[in-house]
Amino acid sequence: MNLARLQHVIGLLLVVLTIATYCLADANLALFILAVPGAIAAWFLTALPLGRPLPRIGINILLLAILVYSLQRMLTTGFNVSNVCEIITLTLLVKIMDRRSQRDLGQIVSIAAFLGIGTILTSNAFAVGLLLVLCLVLLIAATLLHQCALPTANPESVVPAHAPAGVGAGRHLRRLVLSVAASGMVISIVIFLLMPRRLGAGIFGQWGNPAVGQVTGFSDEVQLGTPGFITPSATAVLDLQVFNPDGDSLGAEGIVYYLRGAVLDEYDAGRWTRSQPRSERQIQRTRLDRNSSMMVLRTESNRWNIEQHFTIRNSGTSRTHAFSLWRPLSIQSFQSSHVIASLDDGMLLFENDGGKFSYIVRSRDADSPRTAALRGSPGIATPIEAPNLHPQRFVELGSQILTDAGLDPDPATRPPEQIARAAEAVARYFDDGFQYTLEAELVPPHRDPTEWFLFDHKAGHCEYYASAMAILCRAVGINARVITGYVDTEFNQPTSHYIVRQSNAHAWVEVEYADGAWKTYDPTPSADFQRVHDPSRSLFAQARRLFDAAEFAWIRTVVSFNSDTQQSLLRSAFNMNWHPEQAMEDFTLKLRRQEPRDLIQAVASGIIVLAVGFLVAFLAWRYRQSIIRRLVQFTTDLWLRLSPRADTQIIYLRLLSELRRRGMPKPPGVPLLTHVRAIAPRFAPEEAVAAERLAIALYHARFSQRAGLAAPQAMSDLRVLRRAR
Amino acid sequence: MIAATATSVAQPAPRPRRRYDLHPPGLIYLTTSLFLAIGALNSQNNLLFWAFGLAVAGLIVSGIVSGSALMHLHLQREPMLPAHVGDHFFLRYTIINTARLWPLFGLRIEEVLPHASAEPPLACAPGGVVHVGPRQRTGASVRALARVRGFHSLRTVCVSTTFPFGLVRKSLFFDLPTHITVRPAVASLRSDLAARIAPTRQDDSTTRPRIGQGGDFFGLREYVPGDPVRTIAWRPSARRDTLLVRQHTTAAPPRLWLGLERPAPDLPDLDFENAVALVASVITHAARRGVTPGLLVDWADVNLPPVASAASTSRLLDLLARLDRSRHADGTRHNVRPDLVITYSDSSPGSGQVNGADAGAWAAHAFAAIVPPPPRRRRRRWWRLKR
Repeated sequence: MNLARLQHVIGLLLVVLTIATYCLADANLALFILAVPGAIAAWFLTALPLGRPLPRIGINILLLAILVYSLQRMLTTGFNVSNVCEIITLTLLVKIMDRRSQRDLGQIVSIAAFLGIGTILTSNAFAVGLLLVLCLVLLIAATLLHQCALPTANPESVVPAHAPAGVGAGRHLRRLVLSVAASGMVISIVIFLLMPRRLGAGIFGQWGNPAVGQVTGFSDEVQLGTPGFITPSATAVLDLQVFNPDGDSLGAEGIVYYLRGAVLDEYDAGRWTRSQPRSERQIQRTRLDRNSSMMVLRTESNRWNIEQHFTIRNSGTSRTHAFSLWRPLSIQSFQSSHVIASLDDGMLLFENDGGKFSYIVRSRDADSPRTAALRGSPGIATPIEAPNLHPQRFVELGSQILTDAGLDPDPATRPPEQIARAAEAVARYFDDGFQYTLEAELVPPHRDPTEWFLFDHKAGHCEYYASAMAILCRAVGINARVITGYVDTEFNQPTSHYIVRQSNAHAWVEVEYADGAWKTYDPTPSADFQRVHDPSRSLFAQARRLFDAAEFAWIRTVVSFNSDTQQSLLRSAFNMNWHPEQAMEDFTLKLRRQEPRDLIQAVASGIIVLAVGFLVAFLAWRYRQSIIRRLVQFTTDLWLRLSPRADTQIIYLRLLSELRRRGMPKPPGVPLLTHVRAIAPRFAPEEAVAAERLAIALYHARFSQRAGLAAPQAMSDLRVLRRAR
Repeated sequence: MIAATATSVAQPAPRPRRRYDLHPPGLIYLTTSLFLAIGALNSQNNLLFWAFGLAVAGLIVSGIVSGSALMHLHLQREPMLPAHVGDHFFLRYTIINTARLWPLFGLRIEEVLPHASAEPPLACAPGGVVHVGPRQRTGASVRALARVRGFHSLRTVCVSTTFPFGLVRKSLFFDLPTHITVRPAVASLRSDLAARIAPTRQDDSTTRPRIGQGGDFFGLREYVPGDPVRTIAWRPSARRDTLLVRQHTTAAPPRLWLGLERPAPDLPDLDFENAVALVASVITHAARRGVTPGLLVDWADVNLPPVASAASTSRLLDLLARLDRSRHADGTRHNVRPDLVITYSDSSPGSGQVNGADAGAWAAHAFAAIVPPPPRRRRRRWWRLKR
């Protein structure tokens, strides 16, 4: 086993993989480009015999530079995980250049382990988890190699001194690494499953950002004239499963759902924002947690027809939009959070710790015509007025569109049944003569962006289309608002769920066709919509979908593992009720109520359990050899009983073992019978007879023509010897 | 007969003493694990829960792997040869792993020296063994440096390991008592002193011919059955009418009697040790040059006549190893006068005396340079992340 070479290879792999994993977790491309080649170059340039470690003065200067840099970073961006991990990475790079002894290699392994912990604090993504498992195996291998080399270490050199090693060292070490990794994984999974969740959550505030991906491309307002609402990024934002009341999946390829995020109803100078709520009664704020997980938005909550299971991979901020289908009737989440619901427009907001969270929304996506008729006519909207906006031009164009569609442009005389057709006519107006593009150009000065798009430029992305349609509808007296959110077009068949990516961010329009009843219209030309949002069919895209499916499973089973899934899993697998946090809460409650009897009982129980545990552990430790010996004896006894031809070798070894146990081991070179006769005075008479008979029987079995040994007699003699314990 | 044999039965070796020490890396590991647990509970980050599980698994696996492996470790001490002051030598052991399944990795072997003084007579650097497979045995050695002349006891050998994760140092203390003879330092002599080590006395003891295998004729004697036929002197036998055989002479090697002056009570120890080392150097040099050395130290009752054999030279050096300056014999006068006396004061040249207090001047390499100074403690620099 070439220890130095193995350490060299494993150490380099560990360092490179750990840095790469962290860079992937933090999406820090600059650090990746700097650190990974830097680590490889530093490793080879400072390794003996080709290179030499950096002089100590250089190392100290670099460490000082890192200290200054870290202070500057802390002062400018605050104390966060990314900064700490960056500093750890830079320290690791410096330490690579300072490899002078085995201790330095050990420190490199330790720093890599700390960087791994920082990576966990940075991201919980599937790819990161996979790479961390690889890092773990390398870390174990590097640690074992370091511990092998440490006793033989030359204090002045990284290369371990030549030390004796037995046969098959490499094979044994390989097996040990694999078995340690496997057993470590098994034990860690058991602890992962049993560790109580929600116990002590948030007592030290938020530290770390368990982010999965990037902050979404979704925005809660529309600013026209600036580039890029729809980004081509394929980063997954959320996962969605859709069910009907019977629990059947409603998802399928080709079925598109519009996931509402922000509801924007005020326009000013190319900017759509949300108006202030009309009254506090329209805003409902509720805290959801395990005890109270459901929030009912409307009384007809029992009439829902579509249930959506959302998993936001990373909210990024503490306050985020909860996406849902129109019209949300109830929302449910077991994660501790506040929900702010706007009852009139159905906009939902979450306030929590950020990161990943899951929730369920039940909606009724459309009213029946009879229900809509019962609601009555909607109010007449007034044209939007804004600086540089000429409402008259919109009124004229809107009237023209409706007239061309055979509808009454006058809102005062137009029957309510025509509102939906009018909105549809306006939406379809953009199918011809307009060009869809993601490259937004600068709007000429003193021009309203929507007006410029609608009448002059006629090219833009979905926000322009939505804005133009909403203003046109308002101009002809139809109440309309702009909605931003996502469309889900990518259905993953194996897991029956939709993957929504940043590129699926979208803007569309809702039109009020009856009092309080709104309908979704998408003015973006359908061909362009499909071109932008349809999932790719390429081989790479299919591979990416497979990876997404694995990541979805990872998030649902590992990252989203909480106390509820823990309890249901333990209940279904082991029929075990596991409520440690409930027990702790009860205990705390009893403490608060100052029930001394319960307190004393609990303390006494704890002491008894601890004492019994220690006693069992002590006895197991004290009599471990005896237990193992009895186990081995039992096994060989069983073997002898099962085997009709008793194994002479086993009996012989057993007799030797018995003699050794009694402090009278057979010296090498002394015949067995001679030895047994010599020690006979130290035996009881019947034991001496049994031992001599056994030795003679062994002689017969070994040297006479008769094969085998009289097993019952031999076992009986052995029992006589053993009885003397 | 049976009772007599029974007493010869070997007693089982005492079980080694065990010790577990939590050293700084283990403490850091425990602290990190604790922080992982707190972080996992605080943030409810499932990967942190997993990482904490891994940390606990590391503790459990570490205990199982190292504990099981060391339970089947046996150590034997190999026979030791005498050493010289200032020489590096090896203490050798055999490590036996009787386990059926568990290999041993990363063993550190250390001689636990009984002397806790500032300058122990022996300095031992720890040795190591990378691997001992199940049911295998391997040799190991510890490099040692002899500092002080004498007959030193060694008792306990410590075998320790921090394998697999360096959390806890597990140690086994084997009680293996033995002794080692540390002879005085031997240096090459300066040329003028080396030249004086020659037969200085033309007495009978060095020139008298003796019967041997030489070429010169010594005499005749009667034939004894068993004498080679070719040694029979046929003509004298014919003249005497009885069988006679020829005897030849052999050249006796020159002898050198060495003496060491009685040390004064106020003589510094270093001067005395240097003088003893000079005696040892002269003995070694003389033996190499074919001169048979003998030693006469009357104040310590040491009188070992010159015998031409390697065993005699070893015996002389062993006597010097145990020479005690505080010993006072009855002062028996011997008839022999030493050819060379090592003294501690200036003496007239050519008087057959050598100033042992200035032994370094007589040796080509000073003895003070042979005996290394005690090791310096390394300064710990926290900013270099040294443990």
